[in-house]
Amino acid sequence: MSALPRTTNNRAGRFGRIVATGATLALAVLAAGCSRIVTDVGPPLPQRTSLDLAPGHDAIRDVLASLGPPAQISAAAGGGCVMLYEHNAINENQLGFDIPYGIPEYFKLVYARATLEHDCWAMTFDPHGTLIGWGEERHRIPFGSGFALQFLVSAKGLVDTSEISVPATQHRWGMASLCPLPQVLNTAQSLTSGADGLEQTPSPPSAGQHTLDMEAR
Amino acid sequence: MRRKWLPWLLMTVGFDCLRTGESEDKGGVSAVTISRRAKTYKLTVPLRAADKLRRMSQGGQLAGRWPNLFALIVALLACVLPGCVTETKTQGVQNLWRGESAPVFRRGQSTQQDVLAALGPPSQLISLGDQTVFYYLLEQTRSHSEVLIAYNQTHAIVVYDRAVFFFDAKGRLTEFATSHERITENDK
Repeated sequence: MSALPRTTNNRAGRFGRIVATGATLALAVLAAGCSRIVTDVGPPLPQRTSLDLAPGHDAIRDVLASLGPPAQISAAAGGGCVMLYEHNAINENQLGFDIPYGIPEYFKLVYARATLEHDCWAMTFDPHGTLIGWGEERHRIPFGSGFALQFLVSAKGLVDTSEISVPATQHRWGMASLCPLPQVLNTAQSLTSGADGLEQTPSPPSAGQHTLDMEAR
Repeated sequence: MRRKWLPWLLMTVGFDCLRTGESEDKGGVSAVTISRRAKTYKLTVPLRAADKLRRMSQGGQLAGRWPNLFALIVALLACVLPGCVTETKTQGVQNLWRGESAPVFRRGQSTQQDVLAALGPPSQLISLGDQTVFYYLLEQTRSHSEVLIAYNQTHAIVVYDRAVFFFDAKGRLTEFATSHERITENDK
């Protein structure tokens, strides 16, 4: 096959081709498969100073009127109770890279990082229903990262957020006796029954009373 | 075989180098040799199409310009043509404490029987010494995804519609509250 002669049009065409190829490559490499996955669990907690509540002065009625029902309620030793208000938000950002040639062009390499925004209040009440303790935690921390090879059009989270986005414990309350045997035998230490304390959602399953369950949640 | 559409299809989908080579006129058709990705193919196309291919090849247009423009257009369309996914998942009890016909409860007057008759079994029943708590919960996960190939976004919101009732040792309602967050009929 004979080679084609180079002409002025060829040079102009080559310049346009370089620009077009460069733009395509830049788009493919820099923007392929960028994703943002946000999971917002529960209502945000207002600033504590904006509430007219004070330990030793206000009661359950005032707390419920200001904030509504808590995420969890549990009995406390001595006849009082404890309430937990919680808000979690996970923000996962993914950056995808594509190899625009051959079979690999249908896949993308994805790197993901997630951050957790966690707000929590624990309020304790005496047997008369008076607020006696109010603990607060607010932090924004790295939650995890991941790397994957995905199909071009898929947008799937790479960081395991199941411990945050797990359904509320109240849905499983009636199934306590159907849990695996180690958990059933230790229902007296259950943190989800409402009778023996409570815990924040991001708490690790390998600490505290959960060690009696002999498995992760 | 007359395949008028074939040169245009090749011109459109050939992302890489596409050149016409030697041709042999045979009556109303022409045998054309083209190459793509270091592979050569022989085609039989109408004379007019072969001339067009030859002219475009000599002008440099088939040497990647048109195909790359096509790739750019596809890439831009992929960026602006959204694929949307909306998903809603609900679990828990019916939030009968919402709506215009919601039952009315009064502290000191309503009883556990009143609440159970109006709202049904609670999600959770908690014993607080000499008090009892009925905890009702309806949970809804609303997820909305925009899949644009080049950029994807998913936003999931978990909404809790709660109602909690405190009763004394005699089963009288002492306190109750409903959440500020609510799930309406339109949300279900």
